[in-house]
Amino acid sequence: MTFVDKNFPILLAALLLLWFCARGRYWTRLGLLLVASFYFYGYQHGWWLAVMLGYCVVDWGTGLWLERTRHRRAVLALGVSFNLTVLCFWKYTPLLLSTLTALVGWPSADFDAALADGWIIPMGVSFYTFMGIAYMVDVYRGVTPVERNFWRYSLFTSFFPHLVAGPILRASEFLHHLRPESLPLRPTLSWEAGFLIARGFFKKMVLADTIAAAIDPFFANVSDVSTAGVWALPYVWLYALQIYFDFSGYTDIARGLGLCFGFRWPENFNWPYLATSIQDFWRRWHMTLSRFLRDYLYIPLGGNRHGPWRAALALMVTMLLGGLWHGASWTFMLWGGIHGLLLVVNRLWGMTALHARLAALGGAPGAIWTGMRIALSFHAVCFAWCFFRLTNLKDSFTCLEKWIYFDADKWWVGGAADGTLWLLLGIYALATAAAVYLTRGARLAEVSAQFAARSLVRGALWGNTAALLFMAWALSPVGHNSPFIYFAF
Amino acid sequence: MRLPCVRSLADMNESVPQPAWQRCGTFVFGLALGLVVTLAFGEFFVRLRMPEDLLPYLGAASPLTGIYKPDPALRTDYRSFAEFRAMNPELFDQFGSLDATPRTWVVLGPSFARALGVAMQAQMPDHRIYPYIRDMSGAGKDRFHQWVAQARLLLAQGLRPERIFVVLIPQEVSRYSELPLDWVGVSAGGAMTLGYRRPAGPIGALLDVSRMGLLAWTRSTLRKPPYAKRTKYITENVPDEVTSDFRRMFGVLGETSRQYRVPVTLVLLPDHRQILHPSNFALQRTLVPLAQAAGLDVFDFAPSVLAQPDKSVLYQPDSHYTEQGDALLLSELRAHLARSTPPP
Repeated sequence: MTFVDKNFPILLAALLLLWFCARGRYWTRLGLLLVASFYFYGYQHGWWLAVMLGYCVVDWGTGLWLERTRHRRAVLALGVSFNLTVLCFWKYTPLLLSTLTALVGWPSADFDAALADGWIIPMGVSFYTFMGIAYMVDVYRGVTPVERNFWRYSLFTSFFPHLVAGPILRASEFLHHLRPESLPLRPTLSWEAGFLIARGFFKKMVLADTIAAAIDPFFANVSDVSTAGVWALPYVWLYALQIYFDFSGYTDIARGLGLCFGFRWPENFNWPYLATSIQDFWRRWHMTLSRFLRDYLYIPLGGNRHGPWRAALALMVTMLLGGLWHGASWTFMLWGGIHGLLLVVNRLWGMTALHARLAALGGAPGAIWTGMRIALSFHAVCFAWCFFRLTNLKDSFTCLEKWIYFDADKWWVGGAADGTLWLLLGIYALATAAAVYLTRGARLAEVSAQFAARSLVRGALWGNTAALLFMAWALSPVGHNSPFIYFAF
Repeated sequence: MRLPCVRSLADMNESVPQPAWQRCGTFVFGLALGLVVTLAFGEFFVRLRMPEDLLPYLGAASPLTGIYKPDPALRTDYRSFAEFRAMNPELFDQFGSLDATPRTWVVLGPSFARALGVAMQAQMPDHRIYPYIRDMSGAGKDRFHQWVAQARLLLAQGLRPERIFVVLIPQEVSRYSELPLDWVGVSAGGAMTLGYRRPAGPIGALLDVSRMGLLAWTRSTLRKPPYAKRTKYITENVPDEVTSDFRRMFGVLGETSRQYRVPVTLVLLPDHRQILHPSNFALQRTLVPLAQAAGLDVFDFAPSVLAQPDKSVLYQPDSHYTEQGDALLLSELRAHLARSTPPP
């Protein structure tokens, strides 16, 4: 099931009601969440549940074993290897076989095609794999205590709001809150939760899907004669916005749903396209993945501890694997490699004297320099998105070529030239800017707390939330309700 | 930190403690304010950029253009053959003028008709088959009344086929339980328009003035007639209103058949649910006598399919027929034609 499934609101309403009725009974509440999560996950393919439960058993068991054994390193390696092997099997078997076919002619291309057609990757497997690895490593490091109850651990992995596309949570952020003394007693239907859900649906169903409807034909035919001479850059800008609205919309809904049940989870996005460098971008984009890659891959690979060259190597390896994690295509790896390279360049640039002088600029020159850094970072990210969006290398390069070579009369044509789409984005940007100005950039939780006792503003906020939710449904483009992009990963 | 809007709005509002009823009233007022202001942005946007799926519901005011003219019986008819022909240029160009005289069969209907037509082309090279004539201009897919209009148009244009086949599937019948024939209309520009259930009172008035409200209404199941809810499976229960629509359309088809002395066979296909799961055949029991009474030849494929030992091999996963299914359909249809006496 997904959040945009027509049966999802029924599941959610029933669960909230039952959860409300079950207040005070710890195991009933835990069981309810677990059953709902299993139902949510097994809704499309029942066997996905078996895969996920297999992960739960191994990761939970590894945690217990780590506590008792003297060979902690070996046990951890075993647990992590299991997670990665199963993940690689599901995600990379078709890619591996098709690469083998291309290199040595075995197996046959027909076999590869048939396999790829029927190959179904369990939804969200990458996300719960990472959560499991993070848990085992944290137990190994002594950062988190071992969870002794299997069902509690299973809920940590399988809780439906974060199950499919994150945020990637640590034990301290969620598992510990499932204990009897911390598990919330009743649903907390706060404005903050409602607003997050409404905003998430609006971002996904209106903004991302409307952009998708406008740009998908271009990317589908990027090497085709029908797009010859068309300027690709506006399409790439729009794709950058689409993936942001799509993924941050999902995260908003996940965090909002978590809040409904009393769980506050970390943010995953912090104005990523306002980043002033690639390094800054990765501090703002998919923050829980960046954090995971840093703590469980980059630092174990040596991090900054062994000089700049070793750090650069660790960075490249981390980003290449991070890219490959996104999907079974070499272009994803290339996407990660580009980011790795940009990060290395970024780091080297940070060591120069010119960088220090420019960073010290104040006033108007400083503002101009900051604006240039934002524009440059955004376009570097857009450059890499070409390899992410188009999983055929030739198409990616054609798209990049069309950044520079285009016909003068086709610089602003097709879906990207749809004025009303830009108007929609403009209205959203203005509304967001107004909200940031009025709240002085305060976090939603602070806004919510300050307005709690003020009935007029509280009413207006709830009204705005209800309207946003209604508009998410009413304004979504029919026929373009695609699944969340990150569901594929 | 105190937020500026807290100072400006809330302090003004609640510097003095308010009683509960007043707080409640203020909350409701705020709620309405938040709703209206946000929805106003949505309404502004919808008016600026009308979603395509809203346009057919705007009635005569719809900016859509098309190739239709109003018709008292079928609600829509084609304005001219030239415009209709332009939608299927390859097909009509392939056969040249309509009055050429090899043995001609015309197959009208949904995607099942295409498969049947293709099977006919393969197995009957002595026939000229018009296998699949599409009307791409309507709101959504072709519907049964359009196929009736197409038959009438082709005959009026001089085509004299040996026989016309109109394929009807249960899903097609069920579409009339969601959009009755009388709700179909034609815009000023000649496009097909669709009606919706308009509630009385303030909601109806709101739908008249708010495009976003109308959009939401027409995207929901609320737009459908009340009897749509009762019809979970059209194969088991055909509402009287739908029966009445088909009586009308069969009547036009029968009259056309008699007028031009061209026999019409209604090919009634069961859906795969009827065949693969225990089900009843109320739809067939209702429609077969109705079509026969209108003077149409009816071929009901259901008994032939039910008689097959392994029915599942006849269906693809998407519920269309497999090659084997299409071959069976054609052979049974030909056997039916051989048995049936030509209409007077």
